[in-house]
Amino acid sequence: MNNGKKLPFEERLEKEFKDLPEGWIILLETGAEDALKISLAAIKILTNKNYNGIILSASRPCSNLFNVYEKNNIDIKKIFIIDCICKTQNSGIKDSENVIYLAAASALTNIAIAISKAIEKIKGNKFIFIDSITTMLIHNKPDVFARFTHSILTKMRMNGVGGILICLENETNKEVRAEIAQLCDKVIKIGSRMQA
Amino acid sequence: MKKMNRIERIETGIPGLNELTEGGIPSGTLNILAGHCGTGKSTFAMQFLYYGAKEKNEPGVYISLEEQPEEVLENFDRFNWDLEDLIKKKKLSIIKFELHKFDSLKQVIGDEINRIGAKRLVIDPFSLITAYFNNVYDTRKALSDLAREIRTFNCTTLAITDLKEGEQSFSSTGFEEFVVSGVISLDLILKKDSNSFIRTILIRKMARTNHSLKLVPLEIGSDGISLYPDAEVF
Repeated sequence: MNNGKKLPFEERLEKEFKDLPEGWIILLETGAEDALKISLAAIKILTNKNYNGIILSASRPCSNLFNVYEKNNIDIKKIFIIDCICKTQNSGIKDSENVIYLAAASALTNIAIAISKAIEKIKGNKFIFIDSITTMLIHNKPDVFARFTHSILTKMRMNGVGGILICLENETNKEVRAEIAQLCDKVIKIGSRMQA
Repeated sequence: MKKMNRIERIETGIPGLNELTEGGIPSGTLNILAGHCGTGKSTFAMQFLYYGAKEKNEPGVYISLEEQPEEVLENFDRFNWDLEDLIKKKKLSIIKFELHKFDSLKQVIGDEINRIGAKRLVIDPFSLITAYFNNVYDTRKALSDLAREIRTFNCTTLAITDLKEGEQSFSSTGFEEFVVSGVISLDLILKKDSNSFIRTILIRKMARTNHSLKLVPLEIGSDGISLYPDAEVF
């Protein structure tokens, strides 16, 4: 992120995230090399709006995510991470109020339970951030993952919890992508090099 | 006009179970708790007794047919349950019963229930009783008699049934499930794509109860077992 001046993609996200209705769900489609920047920008905008973020991470361990968030001035007190990496590697596990460690990105039942626990535990406005559908699909069969996503999104809607699902453009199973897109309120295609 | 549901139910102390059973297990009934090894049967049963004794002033008796009381207590060391304190207060009793004295089992259970005023009873494992008998007829008769006797104690009872790997029935004889009021089945489901198991529960039968037939995931944590009725098994 640059010094104070917002980049075009940040401005676009701010505009898209303005006046969100309760229980909004957004599919963010971006390129692989832009995914981190876009994710950080989205999380920063929402935490600045006083949302608490529940991050389902299948791509980076929680310690790395917390570091990156801090470097990008994201208030980590508003972040709760469901970490599907550390236990798989059997490293980096520390007792923390803000992290649930799960055995694998394929442990969908446990992920669903962890999301329910996090929704219950975290008070106030909150959103669930799934990072990313593309990575989750490496570890799960498309039909099972689609069923899982449907169940999670339904739970989010019933609890008035917002959601952002990150999806890598052209690298995600088309059927699953289409299935998920129709469950979302908005699909935003965005890259970090977009022009104002 | 809608009939009032006047069935007295007891809360098990297993978070999530009330939602599956219209508020709990019908009071005074005999229920099988069936499952393969590692599914959480003994933990479920002790949590049921612990909660009753600690939170409901309903003392409980744990009849162990295999392990000594000290061993039973050791099995639950990892949980935040002050079982020894409950034993001192006569809210909980753990007894090792020698099966070769089977003829005195009813008497021993009855005496212990009366001694502490128990409202909850666990027999672990109920299925071991079948090993005492030489033929199917004697086994069935004994189990049927015992089930009838247990009902007279007016204690809500969990009878643990160990299942062999691959066994699909809810008891070792295929008979016990027909003489009890309820069958709660615990299981471990292998998820091949993740090379891991998921613990689940199914209320297979519960008399006088419009129970859920959903397969529900469960977790075992430091406070014991929790069920997640809203979650799905993937």
